[in-house]
Amino acid sequence: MTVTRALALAKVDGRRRRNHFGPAFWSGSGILVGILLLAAWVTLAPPFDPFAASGPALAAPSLEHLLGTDNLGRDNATRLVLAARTSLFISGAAALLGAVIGTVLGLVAGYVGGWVDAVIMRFVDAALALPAILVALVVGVVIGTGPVPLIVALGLVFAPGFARVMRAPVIALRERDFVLAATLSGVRGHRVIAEHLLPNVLTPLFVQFASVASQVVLIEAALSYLGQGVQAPEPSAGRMISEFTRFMQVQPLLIILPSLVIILLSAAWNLLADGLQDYFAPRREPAFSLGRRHKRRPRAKQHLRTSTSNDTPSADPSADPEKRQ
Amino acid sequence: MTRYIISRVLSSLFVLFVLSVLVFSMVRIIPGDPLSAFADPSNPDPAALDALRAELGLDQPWLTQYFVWLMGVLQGDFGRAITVPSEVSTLIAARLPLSLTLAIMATLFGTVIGIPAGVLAATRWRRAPDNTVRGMSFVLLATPPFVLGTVLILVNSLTLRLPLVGLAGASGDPFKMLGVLVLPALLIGLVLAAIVARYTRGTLLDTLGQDFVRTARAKGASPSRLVGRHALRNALIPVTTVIGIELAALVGGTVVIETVFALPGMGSLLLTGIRSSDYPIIQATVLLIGAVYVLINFIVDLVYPLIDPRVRVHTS
Repeated sequence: MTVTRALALAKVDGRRRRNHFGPAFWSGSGILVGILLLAAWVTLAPPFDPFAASGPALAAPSLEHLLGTDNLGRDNATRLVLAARTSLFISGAAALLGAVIGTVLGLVAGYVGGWVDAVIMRFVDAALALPAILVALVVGVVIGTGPVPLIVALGLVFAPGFARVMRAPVIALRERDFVLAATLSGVRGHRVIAEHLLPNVLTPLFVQFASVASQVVLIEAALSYLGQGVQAPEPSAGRMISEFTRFMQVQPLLIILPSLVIILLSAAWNLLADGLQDYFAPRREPAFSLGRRHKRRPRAKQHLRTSTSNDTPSADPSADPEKRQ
Repeated sequence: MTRYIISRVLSSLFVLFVLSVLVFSMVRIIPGDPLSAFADPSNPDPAALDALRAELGLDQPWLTQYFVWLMGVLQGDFGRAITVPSEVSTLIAARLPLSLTLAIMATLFGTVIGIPAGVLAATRWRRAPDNTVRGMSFVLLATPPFVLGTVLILVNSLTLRLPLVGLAGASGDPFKMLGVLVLPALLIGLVLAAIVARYTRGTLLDTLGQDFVRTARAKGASPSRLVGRHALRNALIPVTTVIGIELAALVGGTVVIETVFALPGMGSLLLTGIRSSDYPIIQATVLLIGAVYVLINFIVDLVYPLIDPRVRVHTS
């Protein structure tokens, strides 16, 4: 357990102290693992060829084709699983790339400070001023389309966000005794960053990773929808939606199924982010909650308990309030 | 206060400068010759292409090109489009109002729906309204606006058959224009509302957990006064920042939603530019979209001291 998590735990009421991941974490990671297993199955032993016709075109779901077929008679279920696999791979890899670049920038900026910090953060601000999808569109044109260029483009797009998220807690930690002790006893700068600072900023890092991955799913879908993402014949949920708009009155499933794939993937990453946030930095109870006035007594007791056990200062400024439960 | 404003202005200008350099250099690395559209692919005439290149200034060093371009941009001249026989500023003038209206309407929808929803959820913590708001914003956060739009068009095509797509019949009539834009703006605004609601709920819950709120409650302040006068002011400060940041995503969202509803805005212009690697169009659209975003954030920075007296005290 790191210093930051211990502090966060000490800050909340003792009854809510948790050492287990909550349902959000488990459902999020469960969906992701489920998609991975399905993808592994379809990759190793595909029930149908995803690139060739295997039945009548635009067929409704049947026992043979569980989710029907598309306009070329290809099996929807196989193609949707493959699309989910591509999307999951791109989101994970792009978020990882962004995390690596952004974390290095943020840690260095926060730890070194001074003009290095000023220069890095000015560029981070400027990069953040560009809408992610625009940068991805333009970078995609520069280095081509397809999964790998998408990963590079989206990784670069989200790196500044990571840098900003990582810098704030590092600045708070820089003056702490354990960091000063390490510096004074002659530990080199890069080791202080890697061994003393990094483990204590893993909380925002993991949360940011999962929430960026969820955004990457959405942006990848949008880019593919615009025809600038994953290219044919590789299955992609976003492109399916734009391609099948023509057939939507004949076979609405062709629009609805890829939409559900996008929502499911993005939601799974979001659940993971929420679960991680709740695990690492649980929230204090609010002073009151409206709408249940007749049951005041138990709540009054609860206040008593919180107020005696709590004299800590205001909420942790480094934590991301949006992601809290 | 003056120093605060000056520092904000300088920092915005710097961001704009970096933005212009990024945009300019990004576009230059794009492979493919935009002039190839002018040449006969089977029998290219190098002399004519060189002449055209010289006329457009593409034979100059990049630094010269950058300053020429920047000087033009500062005077509202974005150069001539390469693949379309028109000035880029004319193209933009025709499309910017639509995109701006769309973005402003979406921001309004997002704020007007998002903040009350967040307050409702936070003040009814762990009760039905809270769970409803959280559930809805959770689903909306995972749903891209273009998916919502497509499904909506699908449902409409099977049931009501309202004319939702395109600008047909609405051009020239500002009220009809607004009517056409309501639905796309609402779709983007809903996603923004989900983010704003989650954030408002989070920060308001944090504020309501603080000791000064408990003290005020103990002294007999009514819940509505507590939220309205004491807690919300504190909670909305980070929310303002988030709205500013999310506007960038929102502008990106307009690019996609314009395609879904076949609206001639900046997004479709940018896509045209990208597909034909038309430098001036890409540069101008990306720079303008970025500039609008910087401008909005500058305004957010100016609003800060009005909401948060501490910023006023610290900077003066």
